[in-house]
Amino acid sequence: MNFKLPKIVINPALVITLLLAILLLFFTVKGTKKTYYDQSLYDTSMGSPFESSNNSSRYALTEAITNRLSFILTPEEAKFSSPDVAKKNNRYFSLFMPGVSVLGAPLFYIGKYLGFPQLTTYLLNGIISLVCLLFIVKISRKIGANKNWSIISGFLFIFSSNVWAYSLGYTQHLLTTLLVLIGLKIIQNKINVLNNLFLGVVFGAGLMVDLPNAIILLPIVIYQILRHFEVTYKTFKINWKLLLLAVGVVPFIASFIGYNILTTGSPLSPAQFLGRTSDFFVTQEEINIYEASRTEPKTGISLPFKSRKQLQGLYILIVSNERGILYYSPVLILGLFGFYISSKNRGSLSFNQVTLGIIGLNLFVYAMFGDPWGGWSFGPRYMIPATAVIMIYFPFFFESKKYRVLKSILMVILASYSIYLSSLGALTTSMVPPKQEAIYFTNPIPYTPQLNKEFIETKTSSLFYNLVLNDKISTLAYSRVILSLCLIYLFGMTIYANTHD
Amino acid sequence: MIKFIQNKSVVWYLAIILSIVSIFTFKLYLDNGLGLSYNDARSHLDIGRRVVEGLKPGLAQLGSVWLPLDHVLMIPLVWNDWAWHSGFAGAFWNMLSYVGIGVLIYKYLEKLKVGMVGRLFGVFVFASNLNILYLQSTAMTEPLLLFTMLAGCYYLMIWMTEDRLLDLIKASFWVMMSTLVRYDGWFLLAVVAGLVALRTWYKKGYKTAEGTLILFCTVAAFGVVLWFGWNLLIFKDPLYFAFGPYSAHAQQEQMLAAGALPTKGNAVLSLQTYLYSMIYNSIATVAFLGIIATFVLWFDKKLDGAARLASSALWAPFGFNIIALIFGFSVIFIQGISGNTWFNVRYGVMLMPTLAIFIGYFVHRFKDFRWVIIGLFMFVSFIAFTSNDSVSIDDARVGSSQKNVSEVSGWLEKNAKDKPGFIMISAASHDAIIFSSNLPMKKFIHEGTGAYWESAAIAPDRWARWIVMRTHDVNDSTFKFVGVAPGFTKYDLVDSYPFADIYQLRDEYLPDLNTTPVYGRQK
Repeated sequence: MNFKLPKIVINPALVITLLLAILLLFFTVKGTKKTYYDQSLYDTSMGSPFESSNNSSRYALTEAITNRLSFILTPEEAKFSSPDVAKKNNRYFSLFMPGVSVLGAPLFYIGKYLGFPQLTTYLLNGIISLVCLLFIVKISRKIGANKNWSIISGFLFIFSSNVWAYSLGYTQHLLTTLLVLIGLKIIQNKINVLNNLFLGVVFGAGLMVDLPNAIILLPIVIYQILRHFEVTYKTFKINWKLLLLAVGVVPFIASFIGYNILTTGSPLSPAQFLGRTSDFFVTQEEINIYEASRTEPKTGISLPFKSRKQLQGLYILIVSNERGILYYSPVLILGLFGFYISSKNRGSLSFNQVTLGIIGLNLFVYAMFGDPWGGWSFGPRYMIPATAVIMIYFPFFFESKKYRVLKSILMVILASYSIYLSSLGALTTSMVPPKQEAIYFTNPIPYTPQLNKEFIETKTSSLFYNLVLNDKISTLAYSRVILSLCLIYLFGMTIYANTHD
Repeated sequence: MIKFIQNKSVVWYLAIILSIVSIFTFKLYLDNGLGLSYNDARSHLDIGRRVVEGLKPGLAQLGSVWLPLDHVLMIPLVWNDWAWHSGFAGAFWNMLSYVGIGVLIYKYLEKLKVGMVGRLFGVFVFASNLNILYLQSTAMTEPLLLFTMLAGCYYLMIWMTEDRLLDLIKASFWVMMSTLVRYDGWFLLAVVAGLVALRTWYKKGYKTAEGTLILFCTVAAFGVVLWFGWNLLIFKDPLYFAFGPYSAHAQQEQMLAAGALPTKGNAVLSLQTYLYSMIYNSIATVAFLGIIATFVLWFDKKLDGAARLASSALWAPFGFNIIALIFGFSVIFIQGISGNTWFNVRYGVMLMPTLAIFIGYFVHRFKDFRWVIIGLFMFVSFIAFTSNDSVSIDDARVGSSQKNVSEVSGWLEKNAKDKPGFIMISAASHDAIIFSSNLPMKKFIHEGTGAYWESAAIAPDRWARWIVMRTHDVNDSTFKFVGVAPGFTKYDLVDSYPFADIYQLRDEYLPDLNTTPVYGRQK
């Protein structure tokens, strides 16, 4: 039997980047002494791993799956998941699709064995972000980007955007992003049975991770379907391998229906359509909002999107100091320039059409969503998939050797600022309120990264700091060390990329 | 298939499809009762109706509040009770305009050498807009104005690129028509005149420019001159429409006094207000894409400079509305900017054909990404439909442009329909009540009924069995006169509603009441 192992070429720049990324994620993993020593503690205070119900609701579901092989939450778990919990027939269940929770279950199981279930479960998004980094490098290279700039691009994807903060949590954004990137990688390949089957799986899994994924992944699926048709004036051919795409999706559609039946009791009605339960609401305001939403008459097709919200949504998601993607990660502007440069290359035209579709749909879906802020969050968390896609094009900004020094200086300035903001989010909290809530508090709090700046002066969410360095250096000094590590890498890699074409 | 589509008859197919959409939409809004939600729509229909029916029918009923073309066009249809009360008499011309605008967008893009996809997409952007679909189903003036203005711009573009005199005359004719629909047309007249002068001066020198401009204005400004003449003839003041008691100016003065004209003298707020109005009417994606597309076209050196210059006329409504807001000639309320209500937000729809044309050109120029742009537009459009996103409907239903007079008109229909006697009411203040009562126009004594009105103002008890007015409001002409008339004491207040009170003559005075028209033909 003639079996050859694939040739593995180790790229030192990539290895250094990965090691540094792992180190940075390790230094910023969330936790306190309390949550570390008592992993069953449901601490929902600001900066803790369970500060947001986006995390806790999914974690509670993972617990239920692992401990009882059930999607139904106990009253205690439901209270912990609140407000992102629904109720029907006296049974509580998470408001979210179960994809993240199911994928986190093995990590929870390992952690339970080791005595650190929270810590190991939360590794999921960290691991996914590193895989995304690799995919960005790979995809970028495939459309003709420079190797070293692609690696920088992957690094900046995590550390110059709010991805860093969400790599440390237990939300769906990173998994969605990974599915988008896998989908993009698949369409870069030739049509074959396995690719089609796998793309079907990606699309189906996307649905199980978050409902809007069915829209965001659509350009990839449409493109792949169209590749199977050969239409001319005289001929019309279909490549029947196309059917494998459906085969890949079917198990997930079945799971989707099954999950809905087990929770809401209706095959096509996910928990999000049912709405939140008021059982755990504390304030009168929460109850009032809940009651108002229940009495609102619903006619015709009822979707959570409103085109009239688009103006506000676009402002919030693109430029606002609350959640603007260009405000939090101005380095993405270079990625957009890169897209423009890359689009001149006819070879990657179809691919660029798909990516533009993904970016556009990602933006429009959430701009028309009632809550583009994503509740209390850090940066535009809904835009993380688009961030990854834009970063694929970042290397093209440096394609031409013209003005390379100037371009590098510009990049370092923009990236440094982006990394600075991202590190603040990673080291503190993702619970930044929208302006409309923050200004109405009895004691108003900032609704911008200013909140994180104030937080880091006295506290940090870093488990490493809280366990090891708490009484040795200040939180501010710690954040500067982290930032310095990033900047040293950035300077070093920029010089390296400019000198090693 | 491609050959079929590229056939010249595509315009006809387009017209047929748009006609079907137009009829279907009209029927939809007729059935759900939204077609006549705008207070102004009912007033427009009443003006047309008064020309053919009432105590003093005739062309003088066209009045001076609004420019006359809409109402003149209604005349052949509005005599029919169904056409009057369903709004069809007014909507008919708007439906034709809707189809006409679709065809003109196609033709405009064709002249710019835009391919079939771009042309059809431009038409689709316009034709699928919910605000447009709604307004073409009502008796409002916007679609007709858009059609006449676009026709003017279309022929201007052809004249500027091909230099045929006949096209200039056609342009001037359509501009003239637009000046008879709304004052937006007057601004277009100035803009187009400027472009005509500029183009000719640049190409052929001053002398030719002067002659061409005079030729253009002879036709294009004829409507304006006609309107001055009409006001002089009927109201003895050529500027009656501008400064008369029922003019927009008079209404704006009242609003200014009430502090409800925040855009007056504030250029930034005016710009912001109109931009929001445009964005809400077209949806943000379309508005932003249209703005980008405009710059793409204007700076596209592949396109004839004359065509680029001519296309600037398409943005005339933008300039007009902002200037009108700054000078306080117009008022728009945007929810969130001007309190919590809508008013006249539909003015933003005036840019829809403009945006559609520029976007059509944009997808033509950026062929590589056009299917992505079209796909994203379809997605946003789908959401707009599923979320019933039409600010024009909201303005008509719950904004300040609505007037739910069903209670008072219902009372009149129930109590006055089968009883002899006239109803005295101010048409300027309560046209919606007149319309909604379903009573014939000849049942009403209003400001336009000449001797009846004058007699009833002095001795209401001899002429009006019922009086409908806002008591103690001197802006209501009926109260202004009747409130001080001695005969008014012979009436009982029988009901009081948010928009008007109803007074009824006591039974003991009925024997002295005139219940039939006695004045015959009045001048």
